[in-house]
Amino acid sequence: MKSSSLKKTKKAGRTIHASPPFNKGGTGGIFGAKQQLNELQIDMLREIANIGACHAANALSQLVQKRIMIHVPRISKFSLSDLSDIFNGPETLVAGLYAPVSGEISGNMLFLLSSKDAFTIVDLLWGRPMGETKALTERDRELLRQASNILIASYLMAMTKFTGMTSSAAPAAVAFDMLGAVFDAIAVEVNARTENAVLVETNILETADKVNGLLFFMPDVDCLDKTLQKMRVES
Amino acid sequence: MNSKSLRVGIAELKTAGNPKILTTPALGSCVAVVLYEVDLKMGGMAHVMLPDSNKSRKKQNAAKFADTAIRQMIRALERKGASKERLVAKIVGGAHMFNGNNGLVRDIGMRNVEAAKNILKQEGIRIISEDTGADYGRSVEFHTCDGKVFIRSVKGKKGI
Repeated sequence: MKSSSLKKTKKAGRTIHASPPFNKGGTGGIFGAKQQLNELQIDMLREIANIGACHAANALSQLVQKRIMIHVPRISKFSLSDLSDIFNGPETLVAGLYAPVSGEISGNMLFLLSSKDAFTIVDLLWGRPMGETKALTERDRELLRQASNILIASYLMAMTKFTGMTSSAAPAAVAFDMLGAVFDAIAVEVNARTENAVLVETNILETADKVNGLLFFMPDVDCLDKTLQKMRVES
Repeated sequence: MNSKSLRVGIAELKTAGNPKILTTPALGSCVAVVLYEVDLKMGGMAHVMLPDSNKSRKKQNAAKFADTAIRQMIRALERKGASKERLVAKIVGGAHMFNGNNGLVRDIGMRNVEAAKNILKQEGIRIISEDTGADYGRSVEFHTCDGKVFIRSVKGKKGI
């Protein structure tokens, strides 16, 4: 993760940090053997994701009234083995908020929080003293769901404006369960709709209370091709 | 993890003799199909992702689909000397992990479970126990020494 030369943008009185373009991330073969993304396409995708994540972070910032940072999106082939290392293994308890995305850009969105971070976000959203939430009630889940809806909608809206392609998310669904089981269900969703997907991963950080959320955007490859073509024509 | 245990990843299938423990961590909407041959204390586990290979363009990985995975596992066990008549099955998983968006997420978990049951029925293999559906993930451990299957989840531990 890079923290040097951070770019600052003032938005709604709060600061959003966005890191500069990231190196390749070392994951080749994004589209499998047949289609490889070239450097220009990766840059375009990262730019789209960056704008989306920036707006999502800004929305979260307004919700929790705290400064939110983002890291530059990491782009890789959709692969579960890469993901199992995050947090503490497949049986770690996490909150996963999932929404299918449809429109000219289609795919899946997932906002992932460790159980501790989910409790912290719930504390922040309710304005409770830190550490008060120790389990998620129905109302807490509903609150997380609504917050995620705003986060995801902000991401997609920014992306839609930038690319000129339509895209909207269904209301988020929540799972509070083992990390592996959440990924397992997402992998099934991705595989049921497309043979190939790209994983765009952004860290969303709230530094004061050390919340680290992971926002995953998994666009279907077919629609991504069209988006990138359109953007190239226009640029 | 000791040498006695063998991990079955997503869209994988493995068979083993005695004594071995086949494990698969954290099933969501995927289904683990366990086949056990009582006399030879031999068995297999498949971590199935989707119900039907005929609905997919890419079919290379047989272990990904309920239909092809179960049939391939039967053949693999038969090659090792198992008799199909003595095989029994246990199935785990197929949860509907994400609640709350008014059925917009298709319940693939349930379809996976139904597909696995159908194929097992067609193959004439009896399902002796199952822990499927609901809305929570499950980790599975299958012991070939006695055919027991242990499940860990947010609801606690149990054996089937």
